[in-house]
Amino acid sequence: MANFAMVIDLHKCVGCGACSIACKNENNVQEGFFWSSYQHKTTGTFPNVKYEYIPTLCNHCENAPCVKACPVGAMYKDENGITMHDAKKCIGCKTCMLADPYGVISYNKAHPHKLWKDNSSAIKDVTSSGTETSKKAGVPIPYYNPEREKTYAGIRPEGVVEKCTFCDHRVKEGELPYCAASCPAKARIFGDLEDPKSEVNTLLNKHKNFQLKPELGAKPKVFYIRQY
Amino acid sequence: MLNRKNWLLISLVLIGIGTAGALNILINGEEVMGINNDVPWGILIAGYVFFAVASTGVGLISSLGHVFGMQWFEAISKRALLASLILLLCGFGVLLFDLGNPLRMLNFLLSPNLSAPIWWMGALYGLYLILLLLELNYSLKNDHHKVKPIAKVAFFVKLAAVSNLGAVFAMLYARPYWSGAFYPVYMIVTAILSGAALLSIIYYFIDNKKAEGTQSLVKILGKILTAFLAVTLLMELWQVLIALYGSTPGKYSALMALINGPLSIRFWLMQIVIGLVIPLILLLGNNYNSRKVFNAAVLTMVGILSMRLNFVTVGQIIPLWSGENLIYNSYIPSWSEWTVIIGAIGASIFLYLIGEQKFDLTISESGNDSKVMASKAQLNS
Repeated sequence: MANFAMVIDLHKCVGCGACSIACKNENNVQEGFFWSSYQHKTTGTFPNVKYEYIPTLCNHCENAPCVKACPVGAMYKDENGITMHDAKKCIGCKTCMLADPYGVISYNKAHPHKLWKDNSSAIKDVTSSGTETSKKAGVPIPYYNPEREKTYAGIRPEGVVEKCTFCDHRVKEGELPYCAASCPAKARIFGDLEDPKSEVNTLLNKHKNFQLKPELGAKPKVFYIRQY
Repeated sequence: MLNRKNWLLISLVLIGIGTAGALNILINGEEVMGINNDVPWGILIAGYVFFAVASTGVGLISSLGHVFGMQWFEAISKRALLASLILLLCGFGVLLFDLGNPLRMLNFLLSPNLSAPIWWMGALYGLYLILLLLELNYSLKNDHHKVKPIAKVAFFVKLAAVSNLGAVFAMLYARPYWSGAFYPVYMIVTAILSGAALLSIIYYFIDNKKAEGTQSLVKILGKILTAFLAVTLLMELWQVLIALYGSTPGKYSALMALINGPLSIRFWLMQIVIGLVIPLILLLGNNYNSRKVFNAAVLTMVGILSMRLNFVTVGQIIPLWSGENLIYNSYIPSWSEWTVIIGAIGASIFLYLIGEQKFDLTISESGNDSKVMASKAQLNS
């Protein structure tokens, strides 16, 4: 079985955020939530200033703290080393969010995608409201990727957490996670750690790399190479 | 002093207030709660910790009678068991409002994850609830032979449950303020503290009603309270000093939020001064006068409520990612969350008063009446 991981080449990453947008489209991620996000840091004083930009996502840790902490096994590792979430099992206790060192788990405390139930429009009598669009389209959520439903709740219901799944539904079809496929600079390299010839392994051997918060012992599988 | 009728009325008003918040959460969902992705655990978790730990503490003090055979405590064991049961049920009640999908609780049995401390929390407190019902049932029937073995098992279950509750937080090792071996022990200590305080309050009213005006039990409970106020104060001191000493990232900044940041007034004024220092001064300065013990116990409980809120908040106040400028995570509890806690306090008072009326909770235990009375008489002399 595979053990999927991701290498992010910070030298190639331009910080455009296309990964986050692509992720939202692919996974029907609602407003305010980011499965794919970033951290940035500005240090020093002018003229000696340094800016760092680090794209972040679920690290799919080998020793995942969120999986250990979930009382009902709703967070679990699948056969390909991906940390998965079962929205049908989740009781909404939120312990995984506190166990997670990276802040990549979000909680649906409200009904998701509320925009489509909103009656207000940006410009009155000119632009359409969410409700109007939804009505005209004849579906509750007009912009929606049904592919997501293959392996996970297409839209996560109220009262459960949600997180990145490395686009397991695409990976199963032999495709790349959508963030990796959409990156204009090809900064995200996805592959199998078990396969010695994979590009992931090649890059990790070629370059010095680092992981986020490795000291916690979670064995995160998102590796960063080179510098911004 | 207020009589029973007035207390019933007060508790019903509190329940009414709580029902408003509870209904708001049930109808509109957790959207009406202040929790967010940065601070996923709010005051309902703090409230659950408050009730569950108090329940265990009251139970642990009852163990002194049923397990260790201290006769003074055999006299209070029925009331302690009843109080423990009510507090546990109120704790579970509060917790259910914090779950996104409480109806899926069955997954604890169908799909258990034994490596999750929160699973063990459910298992151990569930087991405690069963043992508590059995122990109370046989105690009320004065069936001493059945009570003893149950009480012995329950003693270990209580210790396991309350220390595991500390471990639920201590094992969240991504949160430096909570992680480590401190909180499992701290939970045991503060359990006994809340147990002694609550039983002091209960016995203040009961002793007052008695014609002979005996104050012996309040006196003994006051002594336990004093000892555990001192131990708790010391534990707080070490927690502060150790975090300050090393300046470990995360732990240090969380501590600073507590002692010199947004939580500092609640910490110093409510938790330390009102909850620990003033009760300690009240108790040490006089011969465990019943009224003073009562006052100290009430202040202690106010302090413990604040202690649980601070404990839950401080662990989440530091962002997982922070640059040079630290911006604290913010969480403002909504009125619905507050009122659920208020309602649960009302429910515990109400249920206790009903229990006190329905059951015979006096000390006719195991035919040991004469011995108990003798030891009480001795104490009073």
